[in-house]
Amino acid sequence: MKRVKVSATTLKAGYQNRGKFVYCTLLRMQWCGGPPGAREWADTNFYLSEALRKQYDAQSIVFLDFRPIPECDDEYVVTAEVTVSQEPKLHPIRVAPRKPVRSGSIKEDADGNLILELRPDPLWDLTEADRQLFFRFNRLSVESRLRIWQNSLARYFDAADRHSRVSP
Amino acid sequence: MRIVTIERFGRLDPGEQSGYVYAGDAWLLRFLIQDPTRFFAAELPRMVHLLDIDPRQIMRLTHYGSPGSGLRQAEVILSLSPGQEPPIKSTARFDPDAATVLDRDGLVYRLQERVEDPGPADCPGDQLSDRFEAFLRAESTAAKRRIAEAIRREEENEAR
Repeated sequence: MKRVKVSATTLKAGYQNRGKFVYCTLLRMQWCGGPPGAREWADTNFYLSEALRKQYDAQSIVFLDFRPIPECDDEYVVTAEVTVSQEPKLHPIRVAPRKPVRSGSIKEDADGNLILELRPDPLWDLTEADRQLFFRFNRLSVESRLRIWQNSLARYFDAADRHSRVSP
Repeated sequence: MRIVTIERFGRLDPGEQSGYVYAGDAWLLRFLIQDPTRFFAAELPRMVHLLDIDPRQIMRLTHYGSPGSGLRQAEVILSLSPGQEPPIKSTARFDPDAATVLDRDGLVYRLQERVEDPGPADCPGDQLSDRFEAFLRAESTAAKRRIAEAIRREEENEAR
């Protein structure tokens, strides 16, 4: 599972709307991601919605930037800015399952050494019913998956450690 | 503008092998998008395919938007490299006539064509998918049943 370090900054901002100047709070979040694509867009929505929870609205993203890191293969600094009407309460990003995750790929030998078994199918140890559920979940839009996450799934996860917390 | 990436900048001692220096011609493409989800899922992969570039040649991708309206403007800076590695994918090594790489064959005009939505991926490999996979490995059948019900509701919502 990918470890994520997300940093966040808030600042006061203003913009013009129908001739009136509106003040708001701008939340800027930054993390190290992959090349721009559907996966990073989904992750952008995930991090922002985790940080802001109910205050998050994808239509309020006003800036999104991907900048490759020199001398790194496929690593980009991703910066996203989203406007929030009130001073946001920032929440930790929940990434660690509350229960231990059984891994079919890592075994222990008699001496206690960990042995990594590589399989072509990463889901090989899931039951057929679980596999079908996995595919059904992933075929949903990002918005639907985020709704399931916020309303039902997230309760099975905790913020892992300080590396995964949003530090205002 | 030339984009020059210098490896081992300020770190090379005498006698050591130098790092690579990649140089490319910068192209700034700017356009409006209708929807970022569609852009990332369909339009950007098609641009990479059509221009026959390696995604790592995207030196900068920036979207701008207005509060309440979402992201609508995009700027992409591409580095079209004169032959050094790793720049242009496949057999299309650098053409000395690089200034015409984009407009030759009308490639830029082809970027205007409507792109089919590829639909969702079975294994998108994003954070939500990773979390769900961990959930399936950790949780009980009863918990999975509850989530299956939530998935069914969302499937119905999307079908409407």
